[in-house]
Amino acid sequence: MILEARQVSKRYGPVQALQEVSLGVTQGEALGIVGESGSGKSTLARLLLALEQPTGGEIRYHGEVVSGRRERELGELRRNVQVVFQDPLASLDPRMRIRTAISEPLRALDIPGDHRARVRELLEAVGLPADAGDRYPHEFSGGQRQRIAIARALAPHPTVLIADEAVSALDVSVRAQVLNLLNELIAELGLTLVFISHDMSVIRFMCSRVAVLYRGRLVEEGPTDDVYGSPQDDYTRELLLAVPHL
Amino acid sequence: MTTLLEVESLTVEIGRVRAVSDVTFALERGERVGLIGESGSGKSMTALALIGLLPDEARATGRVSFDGRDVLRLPERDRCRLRGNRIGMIFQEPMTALNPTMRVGRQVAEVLELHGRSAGVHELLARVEFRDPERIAHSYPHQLSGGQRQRILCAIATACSPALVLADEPTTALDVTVQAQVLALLRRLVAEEDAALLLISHDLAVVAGVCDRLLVMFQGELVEQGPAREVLASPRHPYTQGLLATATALDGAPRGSVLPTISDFLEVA
Repeated sequence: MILEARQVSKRYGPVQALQEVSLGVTQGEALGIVGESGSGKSTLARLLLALEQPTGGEIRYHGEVVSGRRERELGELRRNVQVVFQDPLASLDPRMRIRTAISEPLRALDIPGDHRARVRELLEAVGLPADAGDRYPHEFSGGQRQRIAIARALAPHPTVLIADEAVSALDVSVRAQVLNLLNELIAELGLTLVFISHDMSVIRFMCSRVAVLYRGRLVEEGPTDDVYGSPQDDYTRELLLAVPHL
Repeated sequence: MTTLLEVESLTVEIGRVRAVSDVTFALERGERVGLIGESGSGKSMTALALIGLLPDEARATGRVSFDGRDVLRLPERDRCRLRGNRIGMIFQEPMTALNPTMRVGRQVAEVLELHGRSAGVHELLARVEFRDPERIAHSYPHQLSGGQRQRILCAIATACSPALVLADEPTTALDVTVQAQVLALLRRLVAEEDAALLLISHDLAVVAGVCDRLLVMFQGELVEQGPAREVLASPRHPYTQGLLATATALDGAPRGSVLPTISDFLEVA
């Protein structure tokens, strides 16, 4: 297991956001976490990223407990586990040039090297023109901004990418472009993927294994084809039935 | 069927940008029509023109005839009598459409009073499937879920027995199971009111499940229209072909394969 939640619970005041969830991802795997608003999937993402501490259980990175550690003891996890969120406009500083935004994790993590060259490399990797670095977030479309967010996540050469509803705000056709890009990068860089979404069809396309969260509990988990082919839990069945089809 | 709404050569310009370009279509009474397009295709500007809510800096030409009167040239006072009354509206984000400082029952009552209707607030809330209308009426928007808020907007939009319900991305911000409930509700309400529905969405699957006829917008132009079944079975415009391909691609695509994108289709054309 490269990244793992063991019996993890998270409580916010009176709200039990997660309850004793155990879930892990192995090297090179693509794990999907599916659930609706309030299911706890984003809370789980924040715990896996060590952005928050669980109120019960532990998070392990390469077998070592990282929950409870101080920020400066998280070095390796901070560098190796990166995230792309749903709304790039909210995650990009509107007054920061794209170049500065993409190289920010390199500065924050004290990663040496030619940051300008790395930004050029990343812009090319995500299919943006070289001069994009001089521009500001508002000059880009939603799909392009998500490419920028992906470039920034990849800047410190992570091994695990967590995508939290990364394509949910995009139009269907733009979504296809971003998914193609993600798949290309995952294959090329050998990334381990944790893909969080409410969208069953996107999860099936991206992930070999899927975990279904409902009201903070893990209700079903298994190989994607098994879960979709013969869902064991009522809620999973409901989710699958609700997807509109043409 | 008789014609309810006729849009003729509608063009909307904002500064030097032509957001809507020479769009012509009609809506029959009681008909459910889907308007499909992506961000920036001009679909929402078209919708705003229909209800006379274009931003001040926009300039609209052409004709939008509703009940035989041209909405584009109607005095604002008369437009106000149309909106919420003859035309019900539902937008994507119910949190911005509802007043956060007013109990929702009061907001439903407001539209009834404004248009001199006598329907009961609790009745209307029960009709949008609230089991405890009294508690809901007493709630503020932030105390309700996204789906509940959108049902409140459905109640407001259909409170005055409109002839047309205009729904712009009404379920885009909702979870998939809630989306299915709201779409079913919307369908039932327009059927009960015998109202026409103009459902605007970027999601072909959402629109196809509800509408009899489809309009497809691309870069401000209406590039295709026809019965939903025909458009889906044999789309003629490359953009519609691309839209259909991208909408269905995820269902059968092997994991990790390259998905078709709309540009694949537009380059061929």
